[in-house]
Amino acid sequence: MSDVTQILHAIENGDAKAADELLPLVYEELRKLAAYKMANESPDQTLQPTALVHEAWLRFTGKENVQWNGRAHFFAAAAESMRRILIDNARRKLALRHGGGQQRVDILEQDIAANVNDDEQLLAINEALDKFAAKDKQKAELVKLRFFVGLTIEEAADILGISVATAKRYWIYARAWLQAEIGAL
Amino acid sequence: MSDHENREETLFNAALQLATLEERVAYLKNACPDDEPLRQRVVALLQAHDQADVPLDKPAAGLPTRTLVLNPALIQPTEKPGDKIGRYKLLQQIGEGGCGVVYMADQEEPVRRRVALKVIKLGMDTKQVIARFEAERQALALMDHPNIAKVFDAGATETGRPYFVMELVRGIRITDYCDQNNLPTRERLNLFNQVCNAIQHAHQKGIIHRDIKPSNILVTMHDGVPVPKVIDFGIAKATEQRLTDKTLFTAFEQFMGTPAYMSPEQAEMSGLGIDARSDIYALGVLLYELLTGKTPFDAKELLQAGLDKMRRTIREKEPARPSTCLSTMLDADLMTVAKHRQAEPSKLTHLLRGDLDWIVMKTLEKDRTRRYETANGLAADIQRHLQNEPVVARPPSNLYRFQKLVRRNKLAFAAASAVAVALILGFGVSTWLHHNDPAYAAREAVMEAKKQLGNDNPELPTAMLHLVDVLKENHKNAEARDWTEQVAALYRSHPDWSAEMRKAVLDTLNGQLKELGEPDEAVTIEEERLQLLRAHWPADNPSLNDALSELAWMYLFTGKPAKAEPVARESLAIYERANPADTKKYWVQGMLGESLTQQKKYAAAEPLLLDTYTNLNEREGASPSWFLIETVGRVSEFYAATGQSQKAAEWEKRKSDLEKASGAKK
Repeated sequence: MSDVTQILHAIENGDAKAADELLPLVYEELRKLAAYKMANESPDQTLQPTALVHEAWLRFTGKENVQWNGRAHFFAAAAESMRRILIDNARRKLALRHGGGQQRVDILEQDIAANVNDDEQLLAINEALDKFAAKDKQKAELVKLRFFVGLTIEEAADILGISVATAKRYWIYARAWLQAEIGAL
Repeated sequence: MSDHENREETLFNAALQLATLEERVAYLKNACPDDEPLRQRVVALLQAHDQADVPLDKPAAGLPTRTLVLNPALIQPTEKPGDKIGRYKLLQQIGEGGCGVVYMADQEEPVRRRVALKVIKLGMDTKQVIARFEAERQALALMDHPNIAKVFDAGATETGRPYFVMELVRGIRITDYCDQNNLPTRERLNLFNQVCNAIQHAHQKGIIHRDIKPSNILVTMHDGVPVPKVIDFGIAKATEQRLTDKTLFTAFEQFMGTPAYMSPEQAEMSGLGIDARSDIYALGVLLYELLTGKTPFDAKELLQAGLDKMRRTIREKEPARPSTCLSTMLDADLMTVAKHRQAEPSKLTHLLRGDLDWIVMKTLEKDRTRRYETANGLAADIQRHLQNEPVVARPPSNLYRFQKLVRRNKLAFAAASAVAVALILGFGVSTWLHHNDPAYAAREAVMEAKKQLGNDNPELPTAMLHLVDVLKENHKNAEARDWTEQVAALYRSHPDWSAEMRKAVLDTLNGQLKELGEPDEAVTIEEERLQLLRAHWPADNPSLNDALSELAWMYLFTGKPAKAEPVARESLAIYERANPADTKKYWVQGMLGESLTQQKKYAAAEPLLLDTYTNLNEREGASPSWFLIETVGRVSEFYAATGQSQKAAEWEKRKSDLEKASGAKK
């Protein structure tokens, strides 16, 4: 975890390259944290991204004082990581569902069937979001924070350094844009 | 962001301030009269905005905890050389198996030593795993055997996965060691016996391994002498999961590794009743593999068959004997297997036939009470074989095989017991509901018949045979056999019975005798029935031919091919004359073929068997008949007997395919 704090400090001190190094580290830590939780929670529970990311944040920074700039970078990296983890998971499940070995499917059927729509929807949103990000990076960041990490408008506004009113306006536009895009897919 | 898009957003936000769609459309017309596509685009956004229940409104669902089995990326080991786990420093990865990754590691305190550290791959209930390990720690500590790798410690990694620390064994799996060094069978057996001794030691300390397989038995060299070491003691039990139907197959596969070594009782997966004899079974599989290079059931096929079929195969299917396994192998494969054992192919097959076949088959018995009771017992029998003393393991007796066969083909034997039932209905029907004993009514009927006319009552044998039927249905075989013998005695003491009467009794009696496993007696009865028919019935009576083919089969079964041949020929001639299109004709023809094979009259046997196959095959319906399957088996046996092992293997394969097809239809 000291790696992450070091990078966060470097970012605060204006090291632009440090931000690039953050994503793989945060991804790895979140993955580990999820695996740890999975190993220790009973089956049939759901690990909420919000809780995971917040816990990771606390674990990384501990008592250390990280300034806003570092925190924003961390959450951006965490949102991207969560997105990758969730999308990867949905793809795997769908792949298994669509002919990834007959026996497995038989047994996994109940587990997977329930969420098939969710998984397909998740992939559709992800695809639309990629397009949207190419046009409007900041609003896409907002969507990632809200959708993949589950932050509130207020939390997301705080992290992005915009006012709550602006965040709300951005959200309304992004939501309509993505919905129109998904509907057209 | 382009101006165009900027404009789209501005228009969208402005239009949103208006309440109704009409107002918004009017506003847009006003604001950009010249740009129809832009207006349309903004209207689409407004419509999307007005939709309730948009998926984006809810944050993405989280990760179900069970996804871990679907998602290897999430469960990959995150340790790497240089990391510290507890008081152990990882040096390098030395192995990776189904359920974990093994590292070479340095322990620094309380003693400095090099160890093997196995991190269990799958996330599972770490606390329980460690608790189960702790429960057995005392017993594990008591194990002290040169062929057993010690287990030192267990714990949880930072990421919450269980790990085990063991004595470091620098070796290769026993099967690889034997093949790489072209160890002859005798030396393989000596090595295997050391493994048995190690397992015996553990069993005496009350520890069952539960996961004996080549990758858990490593061979190391000590001063140029190979020493097998059994590793992973205590780990299978600690990491055991309740494998019920609900457990994901993926998890199952990862945990169990190869199902080829799983005993029938483990395949039940009830979690109950695993004991030392499950280890004996696995030792049998290991011995099989050391001798033939193959496992009794192919691991890949088992996995591909699916969970249910896999369990059924392990629980019910009789594996081929080791020598049969070799003789039905493709020539090239057999050459390789033989080369690795410094033997000639034919000599190797010969070497396994007999003692070693029976020793292996005894360890692989489905019913564990029929296996060796201890690993020592198994080792002792191998020792006897090596010293040319008689072994304890015996081929299954004719009787045992006979009973199995009859059970399997009960339909083909269906005796004329319907007649008996029809006759019995005249007796004490009212007593049927009278008593809990299912045989009560039938026994009453016998008593009633005796009371009326004593032993001379012509209906008495029928009543008795019906009683036998009922007793057998209720698994009271001892009593059934008793009554059957009484019927036989009654029959012999009444030469005065009419021919019809005697025939009626014989019709049923021979079936009962067969089912109760009295083949020799059944042959005698069948011979008498044939005599009776010849003496009192016209030559064209269909019963005669039934009796002939029945007798031919009985002769074949009791190993009298020379007697079977003329009987089968007579039957065949009748079919040719009276009913050349009858499928049963080919059944008889197949038996004739088998009798010729067994008498080494090969030139005559081959065309007969192939013709039988061709004709039966043409007539087959959707599901292969028992006739056809048996015929294919006979062809395969013919080729095996004439040393054409490749052809024998092809036909054997065809047979097992047909068996599968017929099983699938059921």
